[in-house]
Amino acid sequence: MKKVGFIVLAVILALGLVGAAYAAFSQNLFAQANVQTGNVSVEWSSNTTAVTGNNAGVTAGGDSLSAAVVYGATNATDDTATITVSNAYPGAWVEITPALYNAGTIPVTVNIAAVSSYALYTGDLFINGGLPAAVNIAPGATVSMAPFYVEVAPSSQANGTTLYAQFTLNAVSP
Amino acid sequence: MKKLGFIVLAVVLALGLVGAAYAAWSQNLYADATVNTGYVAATISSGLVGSGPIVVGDSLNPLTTATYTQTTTSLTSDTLTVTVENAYPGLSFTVPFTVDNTGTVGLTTSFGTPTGGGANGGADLTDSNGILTGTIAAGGTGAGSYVITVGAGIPSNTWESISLPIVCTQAP
Repeated sequence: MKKVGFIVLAVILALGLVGAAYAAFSQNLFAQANVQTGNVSVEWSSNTTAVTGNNAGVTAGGDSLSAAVVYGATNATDDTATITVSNAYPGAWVEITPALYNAGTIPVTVNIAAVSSYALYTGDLFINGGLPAAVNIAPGATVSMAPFYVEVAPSSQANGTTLYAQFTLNAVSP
Repeated sequence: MKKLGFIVLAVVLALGLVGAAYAAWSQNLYADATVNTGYVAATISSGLVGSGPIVVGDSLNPLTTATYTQTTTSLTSDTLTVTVENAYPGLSFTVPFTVDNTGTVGLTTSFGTPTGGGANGGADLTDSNGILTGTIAAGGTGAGSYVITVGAGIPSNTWESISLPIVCTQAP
């Protein structure tokens, strides 16, 4: 048995030597990628419009219905356009056409992601015709969304009241 | 008996003389073996090196570009670098490259484990196992490619890096 053990040991050592003989030359190359991400930055464009009108059949003597757009601070988290409609009445509406400028470095898709309004809940205001579809905006470009209509309900009794609605637009990278 | 002894002595002496003669005619020959080993050497590059920024997004995305450079050429750190600007989650593009066998032996190639990928690992940057098949003969060139994908977890306005080793081994 000792002789067999010696032979096995010799074979193992021989195989080890053979393995060493097959060691190959090698070299590493590297494919390196350095990636800088861009940024999303969308601002209100001054092309945004708010146009008032009223439904046919509505009589508004001495109509002083009007709308104005005021742009707030431009920053990444709280960029707001405030649309104020004055002297509204049942059946009056404002046609809002949001226009947005892509100040970032990558294309974005903008949609109206949320609507917050107690007046919509009480039925004093309603959105006539639905909200516009999302739009794609390339970097450096300005795109207008389709117009949408916010209307004072014919049944509203909100006389001398401020009716408020907030539309949250969300811009996302592709 | 004395005569017989003399004859034996004479024969022994004669045989001795014959032996000396054979020794004088011997010669040594030598075979010297000198083995010069070949060497493994390869460089990585791309036909896009020096082409300047190349748009890698789509037509809506002209600011997302890749610039190819060959940063170092040496036996240990020959690197093809792709610098991408204005990347965004979901961006995926193919990096073509070539491996030139500048050594004296054939090469086989394989891909090692990528390192880097950003703070969020696979959520930031990943690369596919590349494509580079076959053996590259000495003096020959192999063409390959791999794909870089920008993951959903990557932050905006940041730099991330990933490195893919390409192991070149002497062909058997």
